[in-house]
Amino acid sequence: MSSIARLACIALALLLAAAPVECRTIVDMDGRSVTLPDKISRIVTIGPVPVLNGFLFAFGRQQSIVNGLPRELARNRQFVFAPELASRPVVQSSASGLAVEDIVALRPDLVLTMDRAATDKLAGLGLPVVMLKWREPHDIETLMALLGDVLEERQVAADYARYFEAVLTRIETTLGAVDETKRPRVLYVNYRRLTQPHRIAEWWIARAGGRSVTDDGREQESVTFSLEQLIAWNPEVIIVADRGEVEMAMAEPRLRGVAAVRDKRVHVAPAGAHLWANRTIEQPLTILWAASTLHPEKFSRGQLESEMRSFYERFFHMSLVREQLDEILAGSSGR
Amino acid sequence: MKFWRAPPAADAETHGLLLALVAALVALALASLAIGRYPLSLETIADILLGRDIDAPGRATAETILFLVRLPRIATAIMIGAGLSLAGAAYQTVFRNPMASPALLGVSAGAGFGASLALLLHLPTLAVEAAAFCGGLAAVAASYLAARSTRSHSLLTLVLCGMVMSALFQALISLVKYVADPVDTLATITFWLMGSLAKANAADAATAAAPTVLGGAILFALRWRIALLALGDHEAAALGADVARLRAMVILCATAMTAATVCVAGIVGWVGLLVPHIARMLFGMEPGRAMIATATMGALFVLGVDDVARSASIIEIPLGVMTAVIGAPFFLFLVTRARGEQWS
Amino acid sequence: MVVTRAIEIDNLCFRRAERLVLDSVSFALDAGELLVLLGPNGAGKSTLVHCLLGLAAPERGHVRALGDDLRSLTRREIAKRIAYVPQSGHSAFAFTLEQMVLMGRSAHIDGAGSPSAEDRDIARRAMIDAGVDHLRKKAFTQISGGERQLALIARALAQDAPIIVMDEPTSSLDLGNQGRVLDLMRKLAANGKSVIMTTHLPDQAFNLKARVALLRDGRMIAEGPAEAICDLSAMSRLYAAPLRRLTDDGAKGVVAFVPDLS
Repeated sequence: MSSIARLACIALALLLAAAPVECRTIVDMDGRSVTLPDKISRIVTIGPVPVLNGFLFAFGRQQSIVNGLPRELARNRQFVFAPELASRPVVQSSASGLAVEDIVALRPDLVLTMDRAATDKLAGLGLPVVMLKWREPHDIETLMALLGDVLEERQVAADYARYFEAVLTRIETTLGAVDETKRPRVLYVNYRRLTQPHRIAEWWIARAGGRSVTDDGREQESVTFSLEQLIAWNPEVIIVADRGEVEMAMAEPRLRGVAAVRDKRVHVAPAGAHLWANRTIEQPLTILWAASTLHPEKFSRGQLESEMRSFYERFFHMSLVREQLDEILAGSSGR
Repeated sequence: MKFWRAPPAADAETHGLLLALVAALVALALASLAIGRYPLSLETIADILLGRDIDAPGRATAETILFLVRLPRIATAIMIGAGLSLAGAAYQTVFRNPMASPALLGVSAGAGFGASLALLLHLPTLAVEAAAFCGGLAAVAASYLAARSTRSHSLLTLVLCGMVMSALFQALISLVKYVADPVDTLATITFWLMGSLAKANAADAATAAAPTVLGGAILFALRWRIALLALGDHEAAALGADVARLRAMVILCATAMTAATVCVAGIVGWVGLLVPHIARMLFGMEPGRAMIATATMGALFVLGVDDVARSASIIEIPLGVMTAVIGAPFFLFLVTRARGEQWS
Repeated sequence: MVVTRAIEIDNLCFRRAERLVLDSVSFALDAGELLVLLGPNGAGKSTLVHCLLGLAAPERGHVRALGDDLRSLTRREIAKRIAYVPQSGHSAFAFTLEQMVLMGRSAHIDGAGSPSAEDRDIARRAMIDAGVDHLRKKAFTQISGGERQLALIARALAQDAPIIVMDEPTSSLDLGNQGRVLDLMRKLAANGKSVIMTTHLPDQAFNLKARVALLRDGRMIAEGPAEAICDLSAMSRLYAAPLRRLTDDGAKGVVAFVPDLS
């Protein structure tokens, strides 16, 4: 580096250090130290936008999100929870990646990401990027605690952690000791691609009293299989990603002998702030829904609905009406 | 260019080998019926195939697995293998270039672009397949004309132009995806381009079979004329071939075959490059034998690879990935072999 | 009675990108005649060969084979009348010599057919006549340039056409192989074929006792027996270079020309 450039850098560093904004430093889930302004009022979410937005909804921070949903999620139900998102600029898409200049122009106080490449790219531009990680099921508690620190809403984070554990315990108690033979074989699948897309489903299916047929202790996020493998598994319950896939699976002649199709137990996963079957802030509800689907004798629909009302009330500060509950439970409409 | 230095094997020897290959394909096709993730005993399979009327539990499912899952998939794999290999051999002959192949000429990418465009416009399935064919045709024409306009005699020029066209059509696919409605069309296009045999059914088998069987029959009927094209336009014409018409016919057939495979299995590379090579190495240039060997070995290769892909583990490995893993090193091997010899 | 010439070229003109490459070329050849086409590089020899084969369409004039204008004949019909022996180049594919010769039968095989036993017999005889039968199982890519050239002549023999056109058939051959090719040509003519060849060596015309046509700048400037046409001044003019004429008492009338470097 030339000495002039070096001088310029030092001068810039001094200038930044002397800036009047109050700052604090936190350590993100990748172990990076990030300096954040005291007051965070403009947040950009990069990557899995609905998932990240969901975390912020739980802190009642819908208003702070300054970027919109990527175009491919235009029909996402998040607008119910945060109608303002519809008018926010879109700064990313799965087809063309990040619109870096637009992101900088949003002057974010905080950028939330979940992958290293985006983190490095945006942090390199001097943006305050906090990288979150959610691999193992309980990482959500650490994640919420960190966000509690970042947003200075520690009591919300603690409340969520308490809620999370409480719901899990309650379901476990209600289920009781389920005999291994009474646990139905369950397949969560993106039927179009014959892919189980998210490892977290192995966890919530087990917690809801089912046996996931794809649970082989793998490390990979997703697993793609053949139609014959599906028939060989002969799942008793199939959970698909959208309503169109229910019809496709029910209409497939080769699946006629599969228990779930024969018994009409092909269900679409609900979709609220995000698809419940994937990683989402609503995960406690995922387990409750799955438990009521797999063991309807133990978990009533009424119980599920009142839990949903209380969840969205408590964390999103929204009281949902009956139609909205039905809509969430009806899942994504499909493409 | 001296590509293969090994002398062609004697006729008697290759006749036996060819018979063995065809027998191996039949055997593997039968064995493939017994391969898969669903546990089916050989006894059950024999019962069903021989029409023995045994009312065992799970008989209906076993029949579904055998006739609706495995049989169409085996047929599709055979057709894709034979189609891509024959198309590769045909392109290599008409372009007098042992390095030509459906993927390297940009045909696969062109077909993908044509299909994406049709999907963007929400056209019906048949139109999507026709568009794939037109896209493939446009790509091979563009590669050929671009290479010819360089007036270079190097074999690599056509490959290079093909790669340029391939990149161009890939970019056009991205462009189509970019303007596609992200909510529904985009996912459809992405999924279509990926291709997969995971759900192959009788309709897929028919889509792959129709152009392959028809195109293959035409190519086989004209095999002695087509061989003339390998000598160059002037020599072929002087020997009595109607070069322009013959070449157009061969390119149409090969492109239809390639487009059909893209429609069913997505872009599967390397098969069309490496199988004709091995066939020539083992069986020489005698048109009839070379064609039968090429089709049989291509079918054997893809069927074998697909058997592994669908049965090795619960994970379904995409066909294009498997063929690339085997094909790419083979290509390097060819390049190394040809080093020090003329490449022009 | 009008005698039909084997091949007849009448006032042939060919233009490529404004330039007149062939300008009013005429000649004719009967069965059993040998014609050696001499001319400097760029004189239009290759174009003339292409016109003779019907591969290039002349702007004006006619090429007639056994009385019929090539334009009125299909490629197969032309191939039954005129065989072509190209300069032996490289081949991308390792056809065996036998397969290569068998391809000479293409004009006699229907579109969707394959060579019959008779076709194979004819090809075999052609290979024996050209002296390459012992190489028939060898890959075309593995034999020497001379052997390749002889094989291409065998292919033309298998084609069984009354007219044979050869484009510099000896250009890459050593003297031994040149001798073999010339000897073969002489025998072909003796058997009633009409043979046209291009070459850069006038001595071959003497050796073959052939007729000679001199082509320069697209014009035929002289035609006749080698002894009458190929004198020192004509050759020097043709190639626009000082030459020396070599001959020898034991040469039996064969004359050679070499560049004069003094």
